[in-house]
Formats: sequence, structure tokens, C-alpha cells
Amino acid sequence: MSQVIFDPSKYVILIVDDTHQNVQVLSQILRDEKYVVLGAFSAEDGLNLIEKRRPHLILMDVMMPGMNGYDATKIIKDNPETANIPILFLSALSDAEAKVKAFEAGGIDYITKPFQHQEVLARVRIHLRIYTLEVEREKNITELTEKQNHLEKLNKEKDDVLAIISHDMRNPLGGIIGISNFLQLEEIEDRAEMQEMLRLIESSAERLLALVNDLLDVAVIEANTIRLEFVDVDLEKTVSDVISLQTPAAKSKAIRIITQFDEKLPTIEADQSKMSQILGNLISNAIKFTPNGGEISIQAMPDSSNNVKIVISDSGIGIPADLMGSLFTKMGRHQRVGTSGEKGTGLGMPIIKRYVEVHNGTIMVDSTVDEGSVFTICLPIHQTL
Amino acid sequence: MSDQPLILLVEDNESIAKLVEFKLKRDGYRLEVRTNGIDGLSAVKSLIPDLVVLDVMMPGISGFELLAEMRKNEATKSTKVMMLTSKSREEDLQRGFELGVVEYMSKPFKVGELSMRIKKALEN
Repeated sequence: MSQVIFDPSKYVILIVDDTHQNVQVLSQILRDEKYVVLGAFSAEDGLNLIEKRRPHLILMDVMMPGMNGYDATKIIKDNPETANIPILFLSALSDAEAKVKAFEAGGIDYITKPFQHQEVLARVRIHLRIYTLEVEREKNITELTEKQNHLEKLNKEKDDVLAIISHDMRNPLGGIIGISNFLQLEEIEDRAEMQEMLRLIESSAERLLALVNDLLDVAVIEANTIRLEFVDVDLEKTVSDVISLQTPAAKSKAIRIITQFDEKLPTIEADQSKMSQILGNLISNAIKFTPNGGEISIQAMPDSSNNVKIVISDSGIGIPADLMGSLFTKMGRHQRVGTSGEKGTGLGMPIIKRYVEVHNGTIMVDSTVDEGSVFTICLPIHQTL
Repeated sequence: MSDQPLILLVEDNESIAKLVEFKLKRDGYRLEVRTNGIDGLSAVKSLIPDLVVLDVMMPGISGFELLAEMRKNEATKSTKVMMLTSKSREEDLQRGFELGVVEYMSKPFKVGELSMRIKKALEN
């Protein structure tokens, strides 16, 4: 695949031989082919050199004063860092015993002297090719193993989310089925009782719809197919639209919502529906986790010449420390019941974090239990593509 | 009216709680509803109901934890308990029966069946 072109200049070859002339001749042959060549006149020098510069292949003499080629080879093969360097023996010893010893020591090939230039070059070349393929194969295996581990982790997360979601879908479905069944079987004379049951069917269905909508968002996010349509977004208008939708929920808990927009707040280049969703989610969460009579404040201001900052703070129950770390990452893990029993899907935070990120923005949270939470979003005024 | 059996329902799902409430009141029982395990436990201790209908999966303390706490208390040690569960795993059933659960209802359930089972549980 990647080995179509064999480029000798990319390979470093070390020659270890006590006969200077041998080193010289071999060096010349290899240099003529554009290989990078290192020479050592003893096994000890060769071992030192390997520490300084890793060769891709070693041509090793057997009989040398001091350490011989077999022992040097064993040392190289025992070191995990150098074990895979191919070692070719070059020796005048032509008996079978010498050859067997060379292979046992870890040699990959054995050439007897006097040698033919073409043979040496052909063998060097083939072993370098094998070596390169081997290195690539190991790299691929490592990469594949990492990918596999990552996929297994994602798959487990997906299974966890599915388990949580199926439980969450059964509950409202159970309500709808149960109440419908009850209405069919029982005579209901009391108008208010009937209204109450229909309201419960409706709210269960709405809960299911919210869950399905969030799941669709997650599916789009996971498939990396989020579509953005950048327009000039007026944050003040977006926030006031969101607030008017949520006024009934806030009123029912007597929560006061205060907004403060900087005079110099510019419009920002963003996707209008995603902005509404981000702000809607954060404001509804603030209402959800703020007790009766509490207060929510929404401020927006220019942050620097290129960014705007939106700060949403509440006087709510806060987020416990053990939930903070994974607030934006774990799907479906953060379902918390609001102060009036409100329920969420547990998918909202990871979704809006992703939406902020695709706008090249950041979202941060600061929270104190029983005092409240502060969410800060920074968004660029212009999207540079 | 006060000689009617008193049933305590501990269930965090509003729709299901209301549904059971409608049915059981029609059946003529006295009923108290609590929407979480902590309130449920204190109600068990203060009301000493004839039957506790208990959801398993609830925020705070679960149905099983509530049940285990109940069994430690002399006054509620042998109170009848029926469990409502969307978990129908065998180990859950086993755990419940060891703690003296008299009946199980798997969600989603028909409220008529719940009513019959409650009647039976109270008679035994």
C-alpha cells in the first residue's frame, strides 16, 4: 500500500565489522544506492552507536576482538526497544554450525564472505521492506486496538442510555395506557375528575414528545450532521421570546425573572433555532431548580471585541459536586427532579453544550448547593469559516 | 368511613399516582399518597397503613430501601406491602419476597387488576 516507492535514503544501516576495509567497501556499495550508512569497528562501538541513532538494519560480522557478533545480537534482541531491528550476519565462516548459531542469536539472514554486491543489496532491500511492513503492521494494530476500545466504551454508553431511556418511556406510556383503560371501564360523572385525567394523559404525552425530540437531537449530534443556518441573531429578542413561553411555569412558582442587556450588545452570527434551544433549556432548568419565590437573572454583554457573554443565574438548589464533573458529558445520567417535581430527559445539558461548541463558543457552570447556579456562555459575534 | 382499610401509595410518577388514587377512592379505600421515598417512609411510620403500595424506582431512596427500613421498625415490621415495578428482573422479585412483599404489579398495569390484587392482599 504505502510501500509502492522504496526510498533507500530514508533508511539508516549500521555496519559492525572489525576489518576497516570491509566497512569501507560495504559503505560505498550502500551509499551508492543512497542509503544512510553508519560504521562501527567493534561490537561494543556498535552497541553504543545504536543508543545514539537507531538504525533500520544492521550488518553484523561474527568474529571480532572483544565481544563477538552473536553476543552483540543477543543484547540487541533482548532490548525491547531494539529487538525488531533486522540483523544480517556477514561472515567468512561458512559452516552450518556458525549459521545456526547466528540464527539462534536472533539474526534474520546470513551472508558468507566473500560476498557479491548485488546479493547483499538484494537481501538488505528485502529485509528493509519486511521490517517496514512489520513496523506499520504494529502501528496499525495499536491504532485498531485503541479504536476498538473507544468503540466498546461508546457502545456501553449507548446501552446505558438506552436502558435509562426505555425506563423513562415506560413511565409516561404506563400513565397513558392506564388512564385510557380506566376511562373506558369506569363511569366518570365528575367533570373535574375527567378533566384531570385528560390533563394527565396530555402531560404524559408531552413528556414522551420531549424525550423523542431530545433523542432526535442526540442522533443528529452523534452522526455529526448538525445543520446550522447562520443569521444575525438578536439575543435580547431571543431571550424575551423564550421567557414569554416559560412565564406560566415561572409564575406557578412565583419566580421573578430579571433581564439586563448591555446597550452595546451586538447581534451575533448564529443559528436562530439552536440559540432559542440553548437559552430555552438553560432558563427552563433555572426555573425547574429554583424553589417558589426565587429569582433568576439573565444578563448579556459584549465580552471582548469578538465575543458576547450571556450569564444565567438562579437562586436554586445548586448542583452537587459529584454531578458537576460530568454534567455536560454523560447522556441521561443527570435526571433530577425539580423543586416542584418537574422532570427532564437528562439529555438537555450534553445537547446544548454541543450546540454551543458548533457555534465556536464555550459554556461554563459554577454552582453552590442551596445557593444557586450560574451558567456562562461565550459566543463569537462572527463565525469565521 | 374510618373502618375502611387505609392504603399508602408511594409513587413518584404523577399520572400513575393519580390513576391509582382515582381507582382506590372509588373502591372505597382511605388513601394517602406520597411522591418520594423519604416522605413515604415517614408516612409509613406515622400512619401505620393496612397496605403500602410501593414503587421501586424513585429518586432519593428507592422502594427497596424504604421497605428494608420499614422492616427494622417494630410497628411496621409486618405491614403488608405490594410493589409496583417496571423492573421485572428475577433478583428484584427474590429480594422483595425475602422482605415480605405480598404482591407484585409490573408496569404498565391495568388498574382493574391492581384493584383486585389489593382486595385479595387485604383479605389474606
